[in-house]
Amino acid sequence: MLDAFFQGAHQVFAFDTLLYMLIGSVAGIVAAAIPGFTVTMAIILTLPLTFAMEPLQGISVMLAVYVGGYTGGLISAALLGIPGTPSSVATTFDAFPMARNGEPGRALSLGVWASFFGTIISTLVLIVAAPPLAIVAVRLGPWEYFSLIVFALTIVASLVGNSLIRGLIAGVIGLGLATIGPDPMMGRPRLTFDMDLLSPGLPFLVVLIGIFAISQLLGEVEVHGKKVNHALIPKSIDFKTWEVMREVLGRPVNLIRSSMVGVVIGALPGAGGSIANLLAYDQAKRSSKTPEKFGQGIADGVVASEAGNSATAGGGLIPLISLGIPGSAVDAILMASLMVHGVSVGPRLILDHADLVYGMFIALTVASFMMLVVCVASMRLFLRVTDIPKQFIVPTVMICCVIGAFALNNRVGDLYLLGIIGLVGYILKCLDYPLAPLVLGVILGPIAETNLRRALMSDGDWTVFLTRPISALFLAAAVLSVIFSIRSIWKAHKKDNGQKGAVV
Amino acid sequence: MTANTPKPAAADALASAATRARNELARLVSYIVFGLSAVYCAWRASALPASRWEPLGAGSFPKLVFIVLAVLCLFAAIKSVIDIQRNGGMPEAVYAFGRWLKIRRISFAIYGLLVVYLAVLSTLGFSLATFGFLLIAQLLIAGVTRRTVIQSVIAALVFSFGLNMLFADVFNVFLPRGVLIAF
Amino acid sequence: MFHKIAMAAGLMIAAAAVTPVMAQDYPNKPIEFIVPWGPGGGSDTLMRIVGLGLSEVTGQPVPIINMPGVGGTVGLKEFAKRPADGYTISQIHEGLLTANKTGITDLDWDSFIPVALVASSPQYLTLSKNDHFKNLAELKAYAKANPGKVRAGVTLGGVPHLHMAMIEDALGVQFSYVGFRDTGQRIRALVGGNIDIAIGDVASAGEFVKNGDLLFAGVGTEERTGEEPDVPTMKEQGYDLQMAVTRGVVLPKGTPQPIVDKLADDLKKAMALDDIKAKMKNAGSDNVFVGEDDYKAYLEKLDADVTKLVGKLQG
Repeated sequence: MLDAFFQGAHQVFAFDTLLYMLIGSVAGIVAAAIPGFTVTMAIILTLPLTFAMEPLQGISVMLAVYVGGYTGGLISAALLGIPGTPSSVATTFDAFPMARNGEPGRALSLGVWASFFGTIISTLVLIVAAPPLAIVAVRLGPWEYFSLIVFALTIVASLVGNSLIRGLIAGVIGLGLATIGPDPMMGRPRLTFDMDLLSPGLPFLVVLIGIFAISQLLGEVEVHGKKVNHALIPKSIDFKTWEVMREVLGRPVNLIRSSMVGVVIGALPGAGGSIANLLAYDQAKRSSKTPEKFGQGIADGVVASEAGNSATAGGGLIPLISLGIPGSAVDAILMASLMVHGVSVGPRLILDHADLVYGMFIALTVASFMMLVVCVASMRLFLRVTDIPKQFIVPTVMICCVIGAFALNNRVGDLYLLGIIGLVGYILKCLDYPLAPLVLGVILGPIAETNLRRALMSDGDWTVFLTRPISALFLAAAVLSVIFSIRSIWKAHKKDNGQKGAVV
Repeated sequence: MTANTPKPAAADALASAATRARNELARLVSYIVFGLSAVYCAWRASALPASRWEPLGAGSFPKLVFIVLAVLCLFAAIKSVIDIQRNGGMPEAVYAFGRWLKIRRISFAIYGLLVVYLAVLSTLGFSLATFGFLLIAQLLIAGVTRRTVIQSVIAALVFSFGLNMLFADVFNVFLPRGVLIAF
Repeated sequence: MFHKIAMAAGLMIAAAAVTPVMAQDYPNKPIEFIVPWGPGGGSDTLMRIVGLGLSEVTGQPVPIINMPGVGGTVGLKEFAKRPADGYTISQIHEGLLTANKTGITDLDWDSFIPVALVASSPQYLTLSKNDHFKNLAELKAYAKANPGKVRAGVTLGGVPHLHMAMIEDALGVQFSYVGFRDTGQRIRALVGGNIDIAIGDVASAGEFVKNGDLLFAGVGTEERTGEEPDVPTMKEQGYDLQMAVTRGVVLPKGTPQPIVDKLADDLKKAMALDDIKAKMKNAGSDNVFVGEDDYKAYLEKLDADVTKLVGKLQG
């Protein structure tokens, strides 16, 4: 075992491997920082290069891109208010207000440190507990998945903002939008109204970009009173590296809880980072003593979201390494690149290729340190974004969104969808609908429907949802979550009525 | 509150109570639009064929979702009507809509530009269409002066022709090419 | 500036008008390879390797363009609109035929020019570890005694559904179907015990079989395969079933014959490269190369088979 460990370490610490990893890390961060560009896109661009590398070298480079990518999304979330990747939606809630309040450096720093610790914690869990966790994950059937999604849907209550009813409507619109396109079981067109445009359905990324990025960018050029051309964020402030590190470590409960949420969600094939950040944020808000401060730029919100999404990196590798089952699209690409090199990825991976597996653990750790160094070193550069006037930022970022939406599937039709969804998003924003529930609905709807139908195909009996223990547990958690939300809304309402002010 | 977009503070203070009443009309319209669309979609979904392989067909889930949406919208609309009546009725609201549009004139102009851009993208090709979009959008936001024109032309060139070259030559990702011009 | 652009544009239009008919120097610019499936899947991985080989032989880059959607038909629809000059190629497999026959798309294999079959992944009937059956005969007996009790994981309306319908037909039994989108999901459910049987291949299920978590009950090839010599063919067990997913390269209708021939030639050279052969094998495909005419004949026969069974796929 020690032998394999050193063999793996030897390969990862080779000079050229480290150099490629560094380039990969920068590429991942930059790709994720640009709204519309995603980690998946960066990984696909890396894939052909890794065909020519040694298996472990190729994987290490991809892991560097991957870890960098989970952090990079934070940059545009904090500085532009646009999630740079699907996994940084919850980061915008608090990092952006914090930046607008004059602390962009602190917001970035908090996110970077939280990401770093999130990755490290998830790597530790991966090393220590991968096989048993993977076995639990693979045993979960459609019943458990459906119940888990029902539970995840209840977090809408934490995302609704000013109005519960508009939050619910947004969430259900999201569920509805996701039903457009080929039906997930039969692949037949559904609610496409015989339009070619709608026949492939609405890609999640296009909805995300349209709803968040386009609406946010259009919102930036509204003219309230005098016409202003200044930068998006008032002033650029220090990065405060070490001070913020202590601040993050001073929240051990939040950090560990959020990371564990990320690990567990990451380990479930098919769920992934786009849910983990929202769930972690929700959990942090609920257990906070000051939930009303969430959304106004509280450090706990940034930490929860970023630790949560970064921890899915290690979590996603759990089923991949122990069973050869990819947890996400990115993991599937990692697996394909190993397969091409003749490494059979399966339950025997750790027995047959121990050096490779240890090498991956080491690479993941190295990648997170690299991410940290790159981010700390280049943050000043990123903060310069705040000095660029609106007239350049807004149209250019829009172009990036267009490229990102196109490069995803290379379909021109997706661009027209982007235009339409962008308008809908902007109008919803103007009317004070919260946007996060809509995106949550789009993510969760298809998973819920597929698993519900699959469960009933496997066994026509509805009571199985209650008789399978883990499924019943999730359903119970969902019920508790709803009760908790109703109670806290009722409390807030009572407090509010004391000071006058209607909560619609 | 988790809206990711706090408006600038000054505008916010001015807005709060008064805007809330004005926006209520627009919101009422949105409830009605969403509600009616939901009813239509639920109806379309229930026309989907049942499946031979499974108890739930393609239509069941969307039907459920859209019915819930319709009910939520109905509920919200009723609440909204009560609110509008309490806050002084229609004329005020119509006047407010004009102001609402005025504040957002550049936003809608940029959006219109985006629509035109997307529409001509596959005819003109990425580089040319993007160049035009960037140039006009930048000048629209910044206003036309000698300085802004020069800056905008440079920025537009870099992010249209430059980006396209980067993607095509380095990443082998081909952005839409024009029918007329092969860039 | 604009003058220059216009001039360059003029030159390019002129160039574009001349190149297509010249087959001697084809290809003299990058060949775009539209893979109508998402990254990370079987088609994507295999076609990336084919693209690598083609690029090595021709000296031109062969960028892979993933264009997924609606069972691979969105990408093919776009592909059909591309100029028929040999600089855009694409891929089809059995899925296109089932999609066409079940009415999901109007496109069919003969909407394109099949150039060569380059990949073939044998499909195995895969069983979960359970108390009721360990091989094909026991499965048949159990399924006969308990109609509709055996849960079979398939992609409804897709190739695995077709294969499972063939088995159902041959054994004279009835399974109940559970729908999954891809082989990875099916194998996961099989390992987790949430379904009982599925169609799998060596790439996705081989390691689980080696580890004793799953069993291969039969393979749909003429002879036993090199990777799993202990697994009997379906034919040996008395059922003449061909189950494979084959992938071939196609060109748009109207491509000049010299270009088709040149591409077929280049592909043949590419598929004979040792490195490419090894990579294809690693990614779960047999090393095959079937030229234009034989590929067409194969597709015609497949077409007849699918037409015969299509009634079982429509729900």
